[in-house]
Amino acid sequence: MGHRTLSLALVWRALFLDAAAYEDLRDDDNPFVEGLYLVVLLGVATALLNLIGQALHWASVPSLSAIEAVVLRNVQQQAWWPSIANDPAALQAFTERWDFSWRVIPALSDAPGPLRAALNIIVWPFTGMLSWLAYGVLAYLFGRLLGGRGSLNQTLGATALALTPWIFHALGVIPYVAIGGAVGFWQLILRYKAVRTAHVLPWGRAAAATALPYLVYLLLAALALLFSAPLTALLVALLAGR
Amino acid sequence: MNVPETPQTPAAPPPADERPAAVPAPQGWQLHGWFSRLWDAARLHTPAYAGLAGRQDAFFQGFLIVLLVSLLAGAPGFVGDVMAALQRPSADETAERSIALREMLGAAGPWMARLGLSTAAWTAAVDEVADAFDMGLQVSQEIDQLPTRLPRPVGRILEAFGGWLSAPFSVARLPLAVASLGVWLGYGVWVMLAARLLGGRGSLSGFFGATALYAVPHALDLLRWLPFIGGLIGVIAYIWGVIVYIKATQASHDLSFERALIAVLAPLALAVLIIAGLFSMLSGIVWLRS
Repeated sequence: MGHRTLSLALVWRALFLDAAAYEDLRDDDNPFVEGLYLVVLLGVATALLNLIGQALHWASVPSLSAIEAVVLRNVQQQAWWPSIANDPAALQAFTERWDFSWRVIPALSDAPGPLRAALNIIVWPFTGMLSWLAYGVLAYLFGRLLGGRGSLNQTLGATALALTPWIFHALGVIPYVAIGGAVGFWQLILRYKAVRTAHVLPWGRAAAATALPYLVYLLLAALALLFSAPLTALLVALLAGR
Repeated sequence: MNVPETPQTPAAPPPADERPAAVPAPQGWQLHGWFSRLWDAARLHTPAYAGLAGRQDAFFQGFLIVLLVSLLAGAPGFVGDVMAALQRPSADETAERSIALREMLGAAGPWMARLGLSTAAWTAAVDEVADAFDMGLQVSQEIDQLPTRLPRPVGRILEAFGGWLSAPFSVARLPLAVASLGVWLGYGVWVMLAARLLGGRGSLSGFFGATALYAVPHALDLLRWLPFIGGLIGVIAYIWGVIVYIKATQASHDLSFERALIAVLAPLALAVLIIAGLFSMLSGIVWLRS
């Protein structure tokens, strides 16, 4: 059993671009395990705090069913409503669309739900791990291709520290707080620092090794879009009974 | 802890260009000194930029500057939101909004006539839009009166507080238009890259520390709520902030003013070129198909 490098102070230093923090984790006896601890802890802790914020948010808004009743009552007072109400086929079509919309709205509108927030205690560590491992492996491959000297273990350890801006999601303990694009850019900067430290590369190569995994993501997204379009068309055709 | 699966790379000293700039970090940055340095930076005094870029904790200092200015600039909005949260809009105010919308749409009638739309068609369209607006207002009022688990004012104050705390993390449509972490880091990434390509030698931490000073003039955004001159104050803060940003890029990367200017403008120019290129390409495709 080696010593534990990971600490709150290390996370703080890594968050604010202290190169020594990345070197400490790179030189740990097993950076991967330290990184894994960090990603899981960050995911669980921020999800727990978000649960409190979501519960407060949920408690400060009326229930969705009450809102739905208000909207429906107002729709039924519109001048055009009798033309729908007096036509059974139109009424049935309206009712189907209405019910479908109100099933979809909570998911699309990010309506507060303590149950969904509780589920994040499991989901966030897993998505965090997925993001960390996918990026870490790609950064390792590109780092090596560009002449880097770091091992996979070291790259994963250092890039785990680049997830520290997730700590700002802990502000979700306060309802209605939305953490915007800042975290993504912060993470990008820290990833550069991590790749550079893990592979001891000059700035240009380190920048390329940091950016290339994003290019791979873009290509994969474009491919997914390309293949999903015919699949969606097929699904729609099947649903339409053609 | 497990035995490592791969041999460890011996600890290497940080690359030379990652070390802070050669300017010695000023000692003892107490609060009053901190504010006076921010004031120096706003007055474009070069040592204030070099001093900040040379600090070991430059990135943290930059974070603090942007965060504090962003919260300060958002304070009047927060207070206004809290005041509004504690007062429900009266039925008179709602009716006034509805009348104002109808008047605004009605005033556009002559313009629509010039575009070939008949008065009757425009009146019907105005009625439809205004009716939908009235329904929206009515729904909003009724939802406002529905019971909630927490007392209404508490929920509204929490909403205002949450909105205020979210502002520092937002991004802007126009680069450097507001003091926020999203703008500072998001645009900074590209400027840093451009500055390096133009021969800059600054460290990542020093660059972000110094460029955070662009937020200082945005403290003027505190006065943006003022009628008539609020907008002008916003424009002044923006231009002043951009000048500070160029100066910070110059100082942190040890570049000439011209190169620093190019480094700051290049990402924006590139983005405009890419958007224009995509737009031209799409227009070309549409033209070829038609």
